[in-house]
Amino acid sequence: MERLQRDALLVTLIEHLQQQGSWCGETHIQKTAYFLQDLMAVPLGFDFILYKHGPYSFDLTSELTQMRADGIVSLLPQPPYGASYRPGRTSEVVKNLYPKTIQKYTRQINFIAQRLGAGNVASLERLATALFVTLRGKEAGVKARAQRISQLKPHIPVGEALDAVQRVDGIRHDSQAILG
Amino acid sequence: MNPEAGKAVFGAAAVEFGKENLRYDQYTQKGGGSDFPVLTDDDRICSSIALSTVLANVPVVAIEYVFVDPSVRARAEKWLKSHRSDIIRPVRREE
Repeated sequence: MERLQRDALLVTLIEHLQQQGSWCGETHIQKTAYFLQDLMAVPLGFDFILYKHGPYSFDLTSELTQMRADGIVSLLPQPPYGASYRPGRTSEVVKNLYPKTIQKYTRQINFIAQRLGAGNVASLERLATALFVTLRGKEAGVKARAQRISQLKPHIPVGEALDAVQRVDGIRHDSQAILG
Repeated sequence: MNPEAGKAVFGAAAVEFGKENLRYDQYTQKGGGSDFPVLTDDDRICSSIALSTVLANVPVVAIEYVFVDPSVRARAEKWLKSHRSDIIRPVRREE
């Protein structure tokens, strides 16, 4: 996927997240982009690792910086909290370059935005970590995955990890209707 | 506005003057730029961007260069002056 093609999808994701009431900070974009790529098979091409607060891509951070430089997104300070990402002055130009790509992946983006858009940073961290452990871990059962999450991220209690695994299983199940 | 204007100029110039007479380079600032955690006097952790409108508005550095061989420089400058607008106009890549 070309860089601007990927940017067109990311800015579309940001728009959909906003519509769902998301704060749309970098963490929200990181976690939902991870779901988009690894669950919904949207080939964004980012390399995600399990970092301090769940799946994280340094490439995506750099991409967002590049997108700011190109005016595709802008940062809106929201004191006393962090900043939110918003579509920038060239976002429409970039989206108009790739109408087919956007059309192809709109259902996937919309699904993820609907399911995760209202989530806060802490819940998104748990859900994205649950997906990471589910897709890349060796543990199959719900309890085993929850324990693994809590082992990897001790600040996540097993009870909350369990809830995250069950929610992720639900999202995975529902995603089949889109993925076919 | 074309986010890849430099690349577009390089591509068109390569056709006009030959790739062997050109070099393309670009640099974009990496990482999260000026957004970093700040420990405040009352022991809260805040985003630097939330605390400083200056930091929130620092532009991200992104530069593209197209170098031409000195033997074609004069021609290239003239050519660019008359074709720049057409070259950098964004073109839909999918119909």
